[in-house]
Parts: sequence; C-alpha cells; structure tokens
Amino acid sequence: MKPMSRLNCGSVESLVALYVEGDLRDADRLRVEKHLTSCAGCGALLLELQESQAAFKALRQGVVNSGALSEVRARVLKDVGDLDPAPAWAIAVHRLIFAGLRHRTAIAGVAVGALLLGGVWLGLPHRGAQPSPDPDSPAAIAVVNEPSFHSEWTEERTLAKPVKTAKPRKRRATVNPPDDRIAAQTNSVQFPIKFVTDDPNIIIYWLPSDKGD
Amino acid sequence: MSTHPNTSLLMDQAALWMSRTPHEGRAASELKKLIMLAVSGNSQAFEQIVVRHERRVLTLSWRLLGSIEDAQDAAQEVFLRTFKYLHRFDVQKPFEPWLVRLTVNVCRDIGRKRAERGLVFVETEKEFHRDDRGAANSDPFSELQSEEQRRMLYQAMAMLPEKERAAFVLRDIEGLSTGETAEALGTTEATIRSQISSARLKMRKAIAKSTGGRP
Repeated sequence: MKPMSRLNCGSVESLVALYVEGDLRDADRLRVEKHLTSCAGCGALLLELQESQAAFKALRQGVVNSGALSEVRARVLKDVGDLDPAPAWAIAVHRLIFAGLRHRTAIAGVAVGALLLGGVWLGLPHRGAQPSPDPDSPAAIAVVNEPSFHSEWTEERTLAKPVKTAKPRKRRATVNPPDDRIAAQTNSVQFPIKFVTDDPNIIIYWLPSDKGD
Repeated sequence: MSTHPNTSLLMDQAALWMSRTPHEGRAASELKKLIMLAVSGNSQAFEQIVVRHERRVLTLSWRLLGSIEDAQDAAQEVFLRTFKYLHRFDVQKPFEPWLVRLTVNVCRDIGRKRAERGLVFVETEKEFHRDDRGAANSDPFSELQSEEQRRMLYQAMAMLPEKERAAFVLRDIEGLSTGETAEALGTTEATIRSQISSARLKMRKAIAKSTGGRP
C-alpha cells in the first residue's frame, strides 16, 4: 500500500474531515496521523475543521420556542381526535403475519415462499395434461413443418448451409408436431431436426442418418 | 498537535453510557407501557408520547428543513403517522430511532414538494432561541456574535445538497453515530462517511469565505 505521506494533500482532505470526529477506522487513522506529522498544510486544515465542528456543536443548544411546540401539539391532538385507532383485528393480523419481523424481511419471505410453491406446482404432473412423448421416439424431436423444407434435403445440403435466417422472436428450441404428408415422404429415411438458438437470426438444422449419428 | 479527537469522543461515549443508568431504563419501560396503551386506543397515553418527543421531532425537522412553518407541518405529519402506524412498531426495539427515521422520511417528502414549488432551504431565526440554561452568563455582545455566527452556519448548511445536509445534521448537529445516521437515512455507513466528509469540507470553506479567511 502506498504510504499516506506520499499522497497529495487533496486526497487526504476527505480523510482529515472524518478524522476530526473520529469517524475513521484504526488503520486509516494511523495513516492520517502519520501524514499530519509531516504536512503543515493538512495540520492547519485539521485545526480549522476542529473549530468549525465546535461551532456546529454549539448549534445543538438552539431550541424551538414553547409557542411553536404547543401549536404543533394542539394540531396533532386535534387531528388524532378525528381519527380512529387501528382496529384490534388489524393489529392482531399484523402481528400474526409479521411476527416481529421487519416488513421487508417478511415480504421477501412471502415472495420466496410463493416462488418455491410455484416451482413445485409447475414440476408436478397435471391431471388432464397431455402425456409427455416417448423421448426415444424420433417424432418427438423431429421438426418437419418448415414451409421451405422438402424431401430433397440431403445431408450434403445441410452441411453446405447449416445456418438459415430464423423466424423472429423465437428464443428456445421448439419441437413441433410432424406434418403427416412430409413425414410420409421422408418415412424413416431422414428426420431433420431444427434447433432454434437464443439468437433469433441463427437456426441450426441437423439431418441425422438412420443410425442416429 | 492538538489532542486526539477520539479522546473527546470516548469521553462523550462514557458520559452517554453513564447516563443510561436505571433512570433511562425506567423511562424506556414507561415509554413501552405508553406505546402499548396508545395502541390499544388510549388517547392520553398517545398525548404523553407526543409531549415526550415533540421537541426532538420539531427541532430535527427545523434543522432538516430550515423553516419553522415547514418544521411544524412536518412534526404534525410525523405524529399523525406515529398514531397510524404505532401498532407496527416492535416495542422490544428503541423508539427514538424509529421516530427519527419517520421524521427524516416526512422531511424528505416535504423538502421534495417544496423543491417542486421552487422554494429553498430558509431559516427563520425568530422562532428559535438559545437554550436559557446556557444563556445566563453571556453578555449581549457575545450573544449577538453567536446569533450572527449561527445565522452564517445555517446559511452555509442551506447550500449543501439534500442528502449531505441530512447526514450532516444527524451526525454533527444531532450527534447520532455514523451507524445510527445510516440507519435513519436508509443507507450504508460508507455512504454516510462520504457524505459527512464532503459536507464538513464544504461547510469549512463556506465559513472561511464568510469570515474572510482562506476558502
């Protein structure tokens, strides 16, 4: 660490302003003290700050006059007289919900709980939902409803042009149901698989062979 | 070189600790009872709470806003909010920091509304006076001098940005610790240190300028 005495006084000023009221940590305090022993300018700054701080402390003696105080009290009590205190049930509910916790903590806890419950609910199989397709079935992952797709597609062509312009605003890989007509044409020869990447401008088509490689 | 400032700080803290003797504990216990009574709808208990804290709230509001009229409005709003939300207060915790935080928030709202109207921090000295206990031995000349000095200090304070002024008032005039100031203003101690450091240097420059010294 660079010694304080070698720093310019401009950067020490802010530390001296904290030093004057003991707001520095021990390490910084020692560095400031070391600098002050070798810098008359910063020593003078410290004296000025001590004087101004003494003047600020004198402001603590200023008090409001009793007329201003009684006026406020009268206004408060008049307003409070027009208000009803919080009903007992509201107080009980508040204590039950927040149970001595800070509001932010309690609200954050409720939010985390809701997220966890939502996650669990989404993870559960739902009654009436479509059964998930057999992951081993090629139809489950094949994409054949691309309008520009024809059975003439070959592996060579795919390799030559692996990247196609994507439909906009598709962000995740999608698995669409196969088109019967095209599926019949392709039969079990080749099933092109479309991967839509996070970048909407990039789509990757993959034509696996019969062996699946 | 002068004595280390931490020496006086330690003495202040020792005096503060010594003042928190059974009397303070009894006062805190009484306040707790008053709060519980006020929450259950006892208006006299609430009045007692107002009486105990009105000076602190009004003085702090005045120092933050610089206008006695605005400070009165702020104090009124602070106690109305206290009445409204007292049931949310945890009686196991100290009441003053909660009240100070409420006061700072109300003053901040009032300050923003005032800024929207194009008004600035102003000081009305006539509503304030020195504590009579300290004025007994002073002569008129020194009284006038100190009045002038206070006016000059408040004018310098008026030039500070809002956040720096709030940190400065709580730390250097109200005498809160850096941690208490940070809690009252809803920020970190590091931020408070930065704000009060900047404020002290600006105040020093303003004072030097107004007294003809080195800026």
